[in-house]
Amino acid sequence: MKIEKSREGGTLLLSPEGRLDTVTAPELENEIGDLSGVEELIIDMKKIDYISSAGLRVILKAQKIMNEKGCMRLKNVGESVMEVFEITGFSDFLTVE
Amino acid sequence: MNIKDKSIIEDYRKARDSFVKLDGIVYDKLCKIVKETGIQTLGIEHRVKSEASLAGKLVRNGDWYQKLDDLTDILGARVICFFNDEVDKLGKEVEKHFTVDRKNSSDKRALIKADSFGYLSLHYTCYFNEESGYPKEVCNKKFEIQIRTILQHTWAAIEHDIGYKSEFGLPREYERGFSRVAGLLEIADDEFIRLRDGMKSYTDDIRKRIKENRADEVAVNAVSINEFVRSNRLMCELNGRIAAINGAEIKIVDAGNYIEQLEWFGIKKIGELQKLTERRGQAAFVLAESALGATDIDVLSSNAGLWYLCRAELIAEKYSEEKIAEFFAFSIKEKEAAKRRAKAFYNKYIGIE
Repeated sequence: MKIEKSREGGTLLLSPEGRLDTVTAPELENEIGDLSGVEELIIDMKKIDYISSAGLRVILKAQKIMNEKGCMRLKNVGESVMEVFEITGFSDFLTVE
Repeated sequence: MNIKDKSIIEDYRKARDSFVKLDGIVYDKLCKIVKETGIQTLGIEHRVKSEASLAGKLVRNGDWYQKLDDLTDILGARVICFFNDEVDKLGKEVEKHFTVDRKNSSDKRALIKADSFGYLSLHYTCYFNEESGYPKEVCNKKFEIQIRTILQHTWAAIEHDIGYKSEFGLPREYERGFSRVAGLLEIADDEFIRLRDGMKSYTDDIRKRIKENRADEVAVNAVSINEFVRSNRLMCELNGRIAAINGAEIKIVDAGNYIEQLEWFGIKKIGELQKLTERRGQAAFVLAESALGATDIDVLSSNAGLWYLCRAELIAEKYSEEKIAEFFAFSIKEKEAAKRRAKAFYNKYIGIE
């Protein structure tokens, strides 16, 4: 999975691309493994067209880490991914923009 | 610098590597203590005194020290915790895990005279004896461990920064100002304990009342809604049934965002939420089955039950498309997207009879 990263001060922007599934979720998990100094994590979901349970678990893990350190925002969430967030009860504790 | 002080510096140079080794051991041990007690800390500071700092100390107070062993703060560590009673808990653990040199240790909090100013911490002078199992080179070397609250740390840092301990004393107005701040911080530390204990007691009480179905009059708030999701029998059953659709794991998350959503429905008390769960639980499950049954999703948040309950209520009460868009806007920040989803929801479940 291709994940673009950019860092500005305490803000980290991750832009993953493709499917966030069992195969690719560990790569995103790896990226959130070291969030030292990060106060705001933004995940740009524009190029994510599918999310599986493994992807949901990584998103939840990132949210829990960032609850301790600052905040996390998901932006450009497509309708199909949003629907998965909703039917699993994830949408109301994630900050989706 | 006199010959005696030069000799102390020389001994320091020879012993420095051992102190660095000791520093690592002490720090690891303190980290382990903090982890085992589960006490939240702001951090653990630790350092081996630099040669320049030691030289300065000898110049200032050289008469007090005849040899390197007389200096007990060549290595110093400091644990900064949140609550004053945790200072005592950590202190007891330090006494268990380190050999304490009682003669040189003090609870500086208790040493402050009633009419003095200052807000100090708990200080231990410790060492490892030769039976401790640590390398011989680190044994019998004294080091200091300080334990303090964040507010005690604030006091100490500002005291150090302003350096008010002038040999000439302070004008009365400044001395009085410091006393007032010290008193304020002491009261604040006590208040934080009172608030923490009060919140715990409130949460325990709400949990008990929800479990025993005696929470009808409790307001829906950040504590009660989370306890409802975790402990209410009907809500746990609903979440359990939804999870069973795909054999999903339920991840516990904060339900605080539902406070305003429930209020939108006019639900302000736990008893009203209980009634909603009784009234719409089955419809919520049917909705969940229809949404999740065709997927292989095996993870849900603990908010899933609430999510489906709210949708079941929208359908049963036949809310208008506009009202549904208003409700969806709680979780879909982009207004147009909320409208689109409301339209689709309305057409699917309500509009077409």
